[in-house]
This record gives sequence, structure tokens and C-alpha cells, in this order.
Amino acid sequence: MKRAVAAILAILIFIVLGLAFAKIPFGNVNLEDYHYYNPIQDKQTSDSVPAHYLKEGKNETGSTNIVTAVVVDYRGFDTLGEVTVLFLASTGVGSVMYIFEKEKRRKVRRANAVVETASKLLFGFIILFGAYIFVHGHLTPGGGFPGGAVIASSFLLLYLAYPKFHAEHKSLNVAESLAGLTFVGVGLIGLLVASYFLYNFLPFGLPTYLFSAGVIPIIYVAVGVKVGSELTGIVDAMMGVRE
Amino acid sequence: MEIWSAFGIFVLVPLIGALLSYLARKYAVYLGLIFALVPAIALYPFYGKEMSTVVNIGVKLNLAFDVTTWFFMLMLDTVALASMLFATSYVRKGEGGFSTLMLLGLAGANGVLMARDFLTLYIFWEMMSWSAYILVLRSSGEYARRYMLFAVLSAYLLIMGIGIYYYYTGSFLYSAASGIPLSGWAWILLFLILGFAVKMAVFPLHVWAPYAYRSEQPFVAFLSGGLSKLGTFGIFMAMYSIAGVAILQGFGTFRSISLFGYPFAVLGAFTAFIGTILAIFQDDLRKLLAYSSIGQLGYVMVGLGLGTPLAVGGALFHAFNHAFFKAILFLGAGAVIYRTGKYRISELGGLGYRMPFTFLFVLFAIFALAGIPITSGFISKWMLYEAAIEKKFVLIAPLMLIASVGAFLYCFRILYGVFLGQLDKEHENVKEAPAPMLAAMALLMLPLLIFAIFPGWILKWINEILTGANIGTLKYDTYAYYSSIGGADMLVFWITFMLLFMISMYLFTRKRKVTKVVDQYDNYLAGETPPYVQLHAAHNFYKPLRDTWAPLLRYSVDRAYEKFVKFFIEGFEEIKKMYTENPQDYAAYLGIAFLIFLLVGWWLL
Amino acid sequence: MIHPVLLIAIPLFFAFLLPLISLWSKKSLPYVTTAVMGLNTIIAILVFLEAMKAPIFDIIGGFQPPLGIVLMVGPLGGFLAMIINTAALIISIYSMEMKKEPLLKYYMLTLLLLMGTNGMVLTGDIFNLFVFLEVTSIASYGLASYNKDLKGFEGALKYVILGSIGSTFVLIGIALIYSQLRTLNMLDIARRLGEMDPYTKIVAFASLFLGFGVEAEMFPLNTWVPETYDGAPHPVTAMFSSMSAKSGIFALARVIFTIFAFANYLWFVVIMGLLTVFFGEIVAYVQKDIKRMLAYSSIGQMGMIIMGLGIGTTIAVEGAFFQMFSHAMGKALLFIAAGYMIYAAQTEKMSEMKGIGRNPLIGIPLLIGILSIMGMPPFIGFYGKFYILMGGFSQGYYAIIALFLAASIVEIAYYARFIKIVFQPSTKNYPAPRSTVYVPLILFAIIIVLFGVYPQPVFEVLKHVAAFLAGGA
Repeated sequence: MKRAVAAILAILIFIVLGLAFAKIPFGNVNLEDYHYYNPIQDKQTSDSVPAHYLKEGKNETGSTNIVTAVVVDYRGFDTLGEVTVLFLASTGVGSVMYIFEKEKRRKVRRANAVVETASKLLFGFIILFGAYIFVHGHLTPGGGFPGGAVIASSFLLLYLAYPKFHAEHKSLNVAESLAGLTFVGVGLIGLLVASYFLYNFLPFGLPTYLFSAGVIPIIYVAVGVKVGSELTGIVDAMMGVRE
Repeated sequence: MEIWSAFGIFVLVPLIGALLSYLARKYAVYLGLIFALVPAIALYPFYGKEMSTVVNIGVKLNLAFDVTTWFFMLMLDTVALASMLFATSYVRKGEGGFSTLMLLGLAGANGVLMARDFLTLYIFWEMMSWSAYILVLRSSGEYARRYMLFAVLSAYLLIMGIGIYYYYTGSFLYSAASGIPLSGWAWILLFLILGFAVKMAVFPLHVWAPYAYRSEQPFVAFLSGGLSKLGTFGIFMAMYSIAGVAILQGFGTFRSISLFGYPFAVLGAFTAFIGTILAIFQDDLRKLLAYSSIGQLGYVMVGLGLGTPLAVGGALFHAFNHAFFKAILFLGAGAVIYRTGKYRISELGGLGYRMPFTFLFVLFAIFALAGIPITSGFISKWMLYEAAIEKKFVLIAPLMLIASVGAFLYCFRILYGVFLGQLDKEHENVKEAPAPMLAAMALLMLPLLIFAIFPGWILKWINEILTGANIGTLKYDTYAYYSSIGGADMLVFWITFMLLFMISMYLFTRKRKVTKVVDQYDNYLAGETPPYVQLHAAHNFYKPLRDTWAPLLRYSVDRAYEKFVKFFIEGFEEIKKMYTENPQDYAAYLGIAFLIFLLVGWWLL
Repeated sequence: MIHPVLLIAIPLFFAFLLPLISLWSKKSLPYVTTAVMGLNTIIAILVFLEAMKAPIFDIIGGFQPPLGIVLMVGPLGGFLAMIINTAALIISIYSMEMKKEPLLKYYMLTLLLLMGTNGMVLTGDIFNLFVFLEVTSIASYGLASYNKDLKGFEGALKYVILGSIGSTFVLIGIALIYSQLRTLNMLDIARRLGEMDPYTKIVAFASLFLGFGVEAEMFPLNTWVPETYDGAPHPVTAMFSSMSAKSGIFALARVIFTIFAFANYLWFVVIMGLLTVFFGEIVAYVQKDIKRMLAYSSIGQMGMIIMGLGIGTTIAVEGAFFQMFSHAMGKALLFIAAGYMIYAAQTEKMSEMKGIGRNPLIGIPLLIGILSIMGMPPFIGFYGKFYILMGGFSQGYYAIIALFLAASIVEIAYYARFIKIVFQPSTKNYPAPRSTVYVPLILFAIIIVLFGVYPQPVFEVLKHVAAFLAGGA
């Protein structure tokens, strides 16, 4: 009985939402039809928001990658929030998984020699790759989140290969904190300099070069470090290993 | 500026007193007395003054002072003063709560009297309600909840009335009442009257009173004598000051009585009847007085419902008398309980020999209650009877008369069971009540005697109230009032009474020389003297009467309420099952809710 | 010019800083947290004073809305932010009672909860609202399971399930709006709502209504409340009722008034509010555990606020905002008192708590709190209730108000029962409360009495309700 009701309910909700999404135009065919309204200056423009991003993005942020421009600069505050969400997740997991006494170590079979050696070798390269992804976030597809995830995956590899391995928790925490402080600090400096929180106060430089787009690379490095250490921390907490 | 002094004296001073007496717990009772004394004395210069103001604390409190306010304040503040005086020797020393809450209640009550808009009325009304609730809670915790529920019921009935008023006028001001259709008035008045009637303990809403009146006696004296008069005030104000006679007459008339008021008059008569019948069979002194209070306020309700000048005048006068004599009775009971620690009538007896002054005061209060002419209780009751007889109401008048006879019965029960008869052995050493208690009762005694001789004085004030509300005028002079079917001339009465009194006094003193006072035992036991015999038989008092009434006494409003509540609580248990504690169900609720929101939204689009 | 963004940035900054501080001194964590909340309260007051003059638009990143994100702080938003921060400050004093490890995580989570709730109240961008909703709810999940016992996990799990369904619906709603209007700014959306396809608009509205309804404890989305409140640590319960519930309801008000201005729908909101009150109060009556009773009572109070919002006249919405204030203060007080009682009586059963309130340090604030929640003048609970009811009458909702009052009598009944138990004489000896318990209680009680006796400042703020209803900040 309950199952039938649940199924009917689910089907109904799918139909309803499907009908709603069917009314949505996809692609940027009629992008020019929307004229956004600026509530502060109380004026209507002849532009739509996405069109503005595409047209002016490079000039206004200095970032070659428009996705990054939107994520880190136009809507940097949301990104700060998302970083916080991740931070919260890791804190929450840390709090829930907190173990009062050292649990008895389970006996885990060691991985074989191939895995151990290969993971040692690969470890550095994966980290390098992750770092590349977030350092070049404003130039190429990618950015802090994928970069951080890649870095965390290198630690995951070590966890899998060496059952007794555990990342040093203290330094993870410190890295996490410093990265987070950098992000908020950049925002606060912007507030001091230009009275806009998260203001892009550094010179934009030349687009397509590594040192361009003002504070975006700094933020992306911070995000990368932060995401990397947080995900590692989550993995660590799940493993039940404590300092 | 003057109104500020009035607001300050009658509301702020008690509030400050409440705060101070909480902080200085050691001297709380004395502080309470002082701060109750200030408004009670300051009242006299304010007679006849009319003023109004708006106090803005964020919401606008419209306050005014006129003769109606003054008249009701006279009762309330005097009773409060007497209660506080009584409490100085009744309440344990060093306890802050009592005076704090009494003063809060007093401030609330004075605020209700001065309010000229519903918001202010409601604020002070609730303040008075909850401080009384905590006072009930202090001593009879079991039943405090019952009091609170009815207090809140009263408040919510008021809210319904106020809200409908607000719907039509868009304002809380009393004076804004215009353009309300008759059907609107019917609902407004119904809710307001029922709301205030809870405070007056009118028939189906009376069940809180017998329980609440078991708490500390000085407070109960104030609750029954003082605070219940706010119900009277509220009904008077709602019917005659806000709505007015014209609107009441607009509902149609029955022998020139408004058809709207008539049912309430009948309800009042029933209340008088039922309260009296129930009072007769109570063994608990406090409960007896409580039912008697219900019955007496039924009379007041009759007067307010009938709405002729004579009836309303009688109602106000009776409310005034009731404030004083019921306060004396409760304080007297308090004195007895204070000295003996007992409150069952069957366990007491013969205390008149040990507590003569208390006996005297209670005796006079009982005269007033029963309507015996040497006190002003007679005049007010007579006015109410006449008001009913004048219009030939064959339902109301007989009910009132039967209730009056019943009042004699329970009055006698108090007199005999507590003060007369044989003194219990363990009460041999009972002393007279302490001086402050006696002083409090004596203070309350005065108006009952004064207005029995000079009813014209109080009728003058009542007449001012009546003319102010456009009800009509009373015919009266200093010693008498007159009505189309007679009236009462106290001058004639007093002269006759004094003559008869002299004659009987003379006969009595002459006879005294030849009478011999015999011991109680000699009377009953034919001269034999065993060490101790219990002669006092107050158990099963009025058993024959009880047997006669038994079929009717089976029905109890209390039990009906209990059944009602039980029914609902069982329902609540069923509803609780909705919270199954299973997250899958909860998720399904979310889905269903989404679809419903959507459907409704679609439909409304 | 004070920047509202500081209210979000400062707790976040210190949340990131706490791990570093804990390396240096673990004992200073509670004091640092309290100090941060104090700082936040001061800033909130300044922001509020500024917003009273004119709504503040704090542009983030220097991009004009709707290109960038903007914080939109009207007088009411500022008022609510001030309430939330004040409540957080006072509760953080009680948080010092917390002894269970890992304390570092606890204080980080509380700071982030504050940040999330502040963000929900202050933001003027609908996606940003979602982000802060996520921050708030994830911090709540972490805090709800903080006790790490079965009850805590069960409550938190239910909260996670319902909360994430709610968040998903919010996201769907936002996606629908964005895909049709290509904008995320609330005022921009409100202005151009007519361009939306009606069906999509309704689905979006229903989704947002549902999503924020979960956080605002609306019937029947509030099923997580009792267990989560019951399982969470005591200070956290106080935070839930005075912080996250308030931000949820404010987000709901934003959706109803600022974004959609859907006047036709309002009567349905009233009915939902009434049902919330009804179920909350009725189920609270049959509860035997103190925290569950208070949790259901909290649902009832939130239902009253929803009703006030739904009635939608100026006076009713004034009442609703007043009620948010009084509920934040009163319920936090009661939950803190309940925390002490559970600690002192060693049980959650109300019947075992005889005479616990006879200590005046607990009893008097408790009584004030209960009377305020009951809606007795002269405490702050009165004005909200009265104004909501009068607003209902002015719209002619007689029957609904009558039913509401009936439910309210049930509320009085169970609180009176509770008072009776707590104040009846008993021979049991209870440990005396520490200053970390009675100081917050007394602070809340002072606020309740002060603004109850002189509500002028609050009404001064509520004058701006009319502008809020007209779709302003």
C-alpha cells in the first residue's frame, strides 16, 4: 500500500516538474530578449545577464575563462558560501566521527608491492596535476574545486595503498584554516580598499597570462588547498584515525 | 496633567510597589500595605473629576477617569487595602510574592477601569489575570490550572469580541463605535459579555470559582470582592457605555426590556439559583462562600440584563455591597482558618465565644448577604426584586426569591456551624483574631452600615453613572429610593426598627433578671456531667434537603467539563500518531504537500 | 557606512581561525566565540540603525546587481539580524556549559550557523539565499548530531533527509526562475515576474514555499522538529528555535512578499499556519518529555507567525515580526531553562521535575518566559499574538481565529501543567545553577520584560512593514 502511494507520488512529482522544465528555452537563442533591471540605480538595460557576462566578462574581471569569472568574481560570494559548505561538511564529519579512545586497529592486509610502489610514484604527479588545475583556473577549464578534489584523490590513493598511513591531522587543519583565512582575508582587504567585499583589487594584467585576473588566482589557490585538505580530512575522519 | 496623576497613582504606584516589595522581601507585607493605601486614600479627591489622556508606550493607551471608574475603584481599592491590612498578620513574613502579585493585580484592575480602548483593556485585564493565577498557584496548585484556563477563555472571548469590533470600526477606541450593523453588535456583545461573565462566574462558566477560592484568604477576598467586579464593570461598559441603550433596544423589546439583555437576565437568575443551591450543601467553608459568591453575582447579572434604571442601579449597588460583605466573609473565614487551621464547617463550632469581634463582623456581613434591612444589602436586593417584579417577570423574580431563601439556609450553616453551638475541646485556647485582621473587617463594615442609613449618598453616584450612560434616572432622596411599585424608605424603617429595638431591649433586660444562664450540658444532658460530649452536630447538615434535591444534584457542570476535556485528550492522542517517527512517511508528507501547494497555486492563478 | 557583509565575514573568519587558536590554547575557545558574537551583535546594531534610515544595498565584488550579488538590508532584515545575533550572543554564554568533545568543532559549527542565518536574513540574491540555506542546514545537521548518541543521530538523520529534500526543491525553484528570467536578484525577479510562464511560475513558487517551509517548521514539513530538537545538545536547541527557524521564516516572507507578491495565495498560507498551530499545540499537550513539549510548542508558535504573514495586512505582519522577536527570546529562554532542568533532574520526564523552579534564579525567568510565550501582557509575547489576531479579524477570518484561539487554550493548558509541576513544593534537592545558566536566563528575561513594558522601539521598526509588504527591502 505504502509503496504504491509512494510510487504514484513520485510519478506525479516527476510529471509536474517535467511539465515545468518543458517550458524552459535551452541554449542562448533568445538571450537578447531579456533586459535585466538594476534595482539600485532603478534602470532597465538592453542587455541580459548572461549576455553581459559573455560580452564584458573579460574586461571586467581580467579572467580568460568566463566560467571562472562568473564563479570567482561575479558570484564570488556564493563560492565563499560553497567553500564554507564543504568546510562545514568536513567539520561536521569530524565532529560526528570523533572517537574518544583509539579504536583497536583492524587487521588489514597490506596491498601488494606494485600498488605500493606505483602509488608512491604517482603521488607527486597527481598533486602536481591538481595544483596545475587550480593555478590555471582563470585560464583553462578547471579551478579550485576540481583541483582540490584531485589532490585529495592522491591522498586517497595513499590511504588505499598503505593501511597504516594517515595524513597528519594538525597540518591538514592548519592548511585548511590558512586557506579559508586567505579567502576571507582577500574579501576583507577588498572591503578596506574599495569598500566592496571580495573586490578584485589587484591589477588585471594581460589576459591569457598566468599572472592576470587580479585576485582570482589567489582565491583559486586558496580554494584548491582548502578543498584538497578538507576532502583528505573527510577521508581521514571516515577512516577513524585520530591524532 | 491631572490624568497623569490619576494614572500615576492608580496604576504606576501599585506597579512600583510590586517591584519594591519583590526587592525588599523582608518588609514586603508592609510595603504592600503602604502602596495599597495610597490609591485607596487618593481616590477621594478624585471624585467627580472627568479627564482623559493617551499614554504612548508604542501602542497607544487611551485612559480616562470618570464617575464609573471612580465608583468601581472605590470598591476595588478599598477591598485591596483591607486585604493587604489583613495579610500583614496572615502571610508569612519575608515572603515577597504575595504583596507583589496583589499589587500587580490591583494595578491591572485599576488599569482595566481606566482603559478607554480595547487594547488597553486587554493588556490590563490579562495582567490582572495572570497575577491572580500565580496567587492561586501559590497555595492551591492543583486547581490553579483550572483558574488559568477559564481566565484565558475569558480573555479569548474578549479577543473575539474586540476583533469583530475592530473589523467593523478599524479602531480599538470605545468611542469609535459607529456604523456597526445590528448583527455585528450581537456578536460583539455576546462575546464581550461572555468573556466578562467568566470573571463574574456566571452559570455555565462558573466552575473555576469554587477551586480558585480555596487559596490564601486575603487574596480570595480581593478576588471575590474586588476582581470579580471587573466583570460587572465590563458588562456594564459593553452594554450601556459602548453599545448603548438605543442599540440594545434595537434588538427588539419584551415588556420594554431589550431582547438581547433578557436572556442574560434569565441566565443571571439561574446562576443565583444554582449558586445558592450548591452553596447550601458545602461543608468546606471556603467552597460555600465561593458558591455563595457565584449566586450573589447572579443577581448583579440579572440587573445588568434587565437594563431599566432601577435594575442597573440595583445591580451596581449590589455589586458594591457584595464587594464589601463577601470580602468580610472571606476575611472572617480567613481569621478562623488562621486561628484554628480548619476549614470544614463540621469540625468547627462555638468560636463565637472565643472570637467575638470576628463573629460580629461576619454576622453583619451575613445580614448584608441575606438582605436583612439593617445593612445596605437589603436595599440593593430590594431594588433588584422590584426591577423584576415591576415588569412581571414570572421566571426571574421567583428564582431570585428562592435563591434568597437559600441564602438564609447557608448563612445559618455558617453561623451555627462555625460560631455558635458547642466549642470544640481543642479550640478551647483559640484567641481572637489579631488586630490588623479585625481592623480590616471593621473597615469593610463601615460602608455597609452607612449606606443602610443614607442610601441616598451612594444612589447619587449610581445616578450619575446611569445618566452618564443614558439609561435613565433613579428617584431617590437621602434616606430612600422610590419606584413605580414602592421603593424603600430607610427613614421609616430605621425609626420603626429603633422603636422595636428599644422595646425588645427593654423587655430583654427586664427579663434578664429572672433568667438563669444554664450550662450547655445541663440543657442537653439533664444535669448529668460526663467529662466531654460532642454535642455539636454539623455533619450532614441539611440532609433532608439534600435528599430532596438529589435527582437534580446528580447533574454537575464540573463533570461535564471533565468529560469534555477527556474526550479531547483522547483525540489528541490520535492526532499524535501523525508523527510516526518514520522518515519515509515524513518524506511522503513533503511530496504530498508539494502537490497540494501546486494544485492550490494553479487553481488560484 | 557600515557594511552588513561584516556580519557574515566575521563569524566566517573566526570559524577559520579557531583551529589555529586551538593549537595555542584550547581553553580560550568559548571566550573567543562569545567575543566574536558580541562583536557581531554590535555590528548588527549599527547595521540596524543604518538600515532604519534607508535600506542598505551592500554590493559584493563591485558589480552592480543583478550581475553580482547584493546584500539587501531593510529595517526588518536589520531588525531580524539584530535579534539573531543578540540571541546567539546570549546563548553562547550558556554554550560554555558544553563539556563534550570535540569542542573545537562545536564552536566552529556555532559560528558557521550564525554566519548562515545572518546570510539568509541579509542577502538580496536568491541563489545566495540558497547557499546560506545550505550553510545553515548543514551546520544544523552537524550540531544536531553533536551528542553522538542514538537520539541525536536519529534526529539529525531525519533532519538531513527532510532538509535535503527541502533544499533540492529550493534549488529546483531557483533553476526554474533563472532559466526563464536569466536573473537571480530578488528585486529584479519581482520586477520581471510577469514575463514568466504562469505554470512554471507556480511550480517555482511551490518549490520555494516548500523548501523554506521545511526550515520555517511549517505543517506538514515540520516532522523533523521534535526529534531533532530533542536529540540536539541544549544550547543548540535554543539556537535552532531562535536562529535558524527565524531565518527560515524570514526567507519564507521574502518569497511570499518580496519575490512573488502572490496575494491570491495568502489565504492558503493562513490555513497552513493554522494547521501548523493546531498540530503543534495539540501534540505538545500529550508530550511527557520537556524538550519535546517545547519543540512542539515551538512549531505552534511558528505556525502563528506563518498565519500572521499569510493574513498579509500591515497589522498582522507587524504582529508576525513582533512574534519572531518574542519567540526568539522566549523560546531560547525556555530551552536554556529546560537544559538546566534536565541536567538537574537527571531526566527528561516532566513529572520528575517537581519543585525545580522554586529556586528564584530559575523560577522567575522561567515564569516570565512562559507567560510571554502564552501571550500575556506586559511581556513581548503579547503584542505579536494580539496584532496577528487583530489582523486576522480585519480580514474577516473569524472562524480561523476562533480555531486558533482554541488551539491556544490547549497551549495554556500544557504550560499551566508544566508550571504546576515545576513550582510545587518538593523535598528533592537540585544542584544550584551556575552563572553560565542563570546569566543568560536573566538577560533574556530582562529583554522580555523591558520591551514588553515599553514596546515603542519595536513598533518604531515595524512601521516599515508596509514598505516591506509593498515589495521593498
